[in-house]
Amino acid sequence: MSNHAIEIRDVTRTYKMGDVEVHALRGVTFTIDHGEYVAIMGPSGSGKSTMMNVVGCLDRPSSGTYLLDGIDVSHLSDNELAEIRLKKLGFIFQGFNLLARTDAIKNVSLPLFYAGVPARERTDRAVAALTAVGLGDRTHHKPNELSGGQQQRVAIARALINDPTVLLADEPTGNLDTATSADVLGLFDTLHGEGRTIIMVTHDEDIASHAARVIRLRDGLVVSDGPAQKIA
Amino acid sequence: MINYLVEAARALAANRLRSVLALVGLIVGVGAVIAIQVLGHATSGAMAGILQGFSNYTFLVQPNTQTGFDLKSGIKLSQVPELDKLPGVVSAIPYSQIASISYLGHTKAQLNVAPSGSDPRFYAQPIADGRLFTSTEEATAARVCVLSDNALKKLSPDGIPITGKELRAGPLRCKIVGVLAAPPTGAISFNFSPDVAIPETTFQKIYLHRSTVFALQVLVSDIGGMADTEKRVTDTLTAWHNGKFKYQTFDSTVIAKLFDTVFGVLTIIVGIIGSISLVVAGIGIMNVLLVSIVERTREIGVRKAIGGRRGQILLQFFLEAALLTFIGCGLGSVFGLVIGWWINTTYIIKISGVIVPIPWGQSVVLAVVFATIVTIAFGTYPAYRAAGLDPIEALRYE
Repeated sequence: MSNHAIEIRDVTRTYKMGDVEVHALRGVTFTIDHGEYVAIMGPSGSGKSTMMNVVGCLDRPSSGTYLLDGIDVSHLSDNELAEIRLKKLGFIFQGFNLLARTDAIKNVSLPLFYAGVPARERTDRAVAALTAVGLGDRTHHKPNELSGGQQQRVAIARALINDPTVLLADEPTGNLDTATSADVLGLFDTLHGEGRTIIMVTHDEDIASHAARVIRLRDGLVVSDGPAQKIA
Repeated sequence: MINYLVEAARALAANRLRSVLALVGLIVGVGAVIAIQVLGHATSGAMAGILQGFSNYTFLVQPNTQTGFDLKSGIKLSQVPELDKLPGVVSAIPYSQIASISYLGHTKAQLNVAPSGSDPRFYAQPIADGRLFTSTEEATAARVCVLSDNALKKLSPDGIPITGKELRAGPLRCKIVGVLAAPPTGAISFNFSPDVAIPETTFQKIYLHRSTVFALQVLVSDIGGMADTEKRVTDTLTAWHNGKFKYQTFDSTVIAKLFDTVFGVLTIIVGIIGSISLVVAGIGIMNVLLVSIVERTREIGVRKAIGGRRGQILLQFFLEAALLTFIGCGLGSVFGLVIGWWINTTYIIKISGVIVPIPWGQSVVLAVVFATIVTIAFGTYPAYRAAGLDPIEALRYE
């Protein structure tokens, strides 16, 4: 049993676009411990989205090994990866990706549905998760009845509902204005304070500065890995 | 499993517009297919029912005039009774119809007078009032007559019974002994019974001043053997004329054959309309289900990203489609049956007068099976495709 939350060794990812091979990741190595708050940064084409997909078990590395919470997930089947996503990961997307016309409780409890949790318990836990993100009074609102910030908090509640090992956020503030962004980032700080492991992919220095550590990618390689520079 | 059903029902309820559209498509489609089939069967059956009105125990025989008419082809009246001895023949009588201005009291009408027999099988309709003439009256050339319903309506428009009164028709004076029933509503009456039927002996005495006739009406004992009997009669007549003339017959099967052709075309047309309605219904359902493919694909992306397995996601989409089908086919069947039943009772049965057993079950099964296949296929197919996509791809789907 590894004591790392994430251990990535020599991971490459190559896509075939027609006859052309695109090397999105050319051999990335890093580890993230439990309780860390890490930002993955890089310009477009740097491979950070691919990195996010690999870390999020949405994609498999072409070579190299990836241990998530001590489990080698590099060669798992689709269904096994789904199981890992269900139990070990929580996703937060730029576009929220909530189910339309479905109230907050149902959105938040969706992962529990796939985990086979009974209906009553699903609802109870969803209400608790929504309360934890400050939406205890919005449990029956549908996404179109919520503001962007509120929608993202529903998404965060959904990501947390299975008590995941790692919380993954892909440009979580990309669709939000400054005030709401600060709100969401404040929530991340709180979660970090509670001991959650958070990985956030962003291209924004301001956003990245909220993290404790920044991994910078360029052309599929890690170019720097160190503490975040706090902007005054 | 119950969990998934509940979740499917909830998803349908949440996407109300899409569900309602798909349901409307299903209901209209299933309903139309059932109604078309029911009406097709009702119409065909009504036609078949009308055809049954044709069954008749008599046929006409006359010289084949295709090669020109020859006076020598006439049949001697004295020889006609000999035909009764042929197997299958009950009675052969001269045939002729004479249009006569007729009077009942002061009521005037133009009626056809023709010879007939005492056997009820000479008549297409049963007697409604009074009686047919008896064989004694036939033998004695009594001045009696049996009127058709048509004659009754012309002579007694206000429905006063005319049985027992005296009819004057040209040179004929006869006592009305009976009136025939009206033919069933809609059934095209095909018979040789005229407005005024009189015993053939009476007819000969009053109208026929020759020793030969050119047409006979023959009553057969068995409809099934009619063709054979016709052959025997025409062969006999040809033999009487030393093979010089041929004779032709005319019976209800001639018209039945004609109607069989019409009926066949009708069946094909009903079938084609039914198939078109099936296709239209299928396309309607398919459209509604495919329109939501973008939204659904993204939804599948989300579901996969948060850990839903392919099988779980497919099962849910399948159940959604199955629920839609169940509700839609149920309502659609009721809709189609009510429409079919209503048109059948208000129009087809009223017009044709024929009540046909309709294969309700078969119509419903065909429509429901088809709709189920289309709905489940097109409700699940996008999910099947999307569930196979990478979650990343599905999330990006536009």
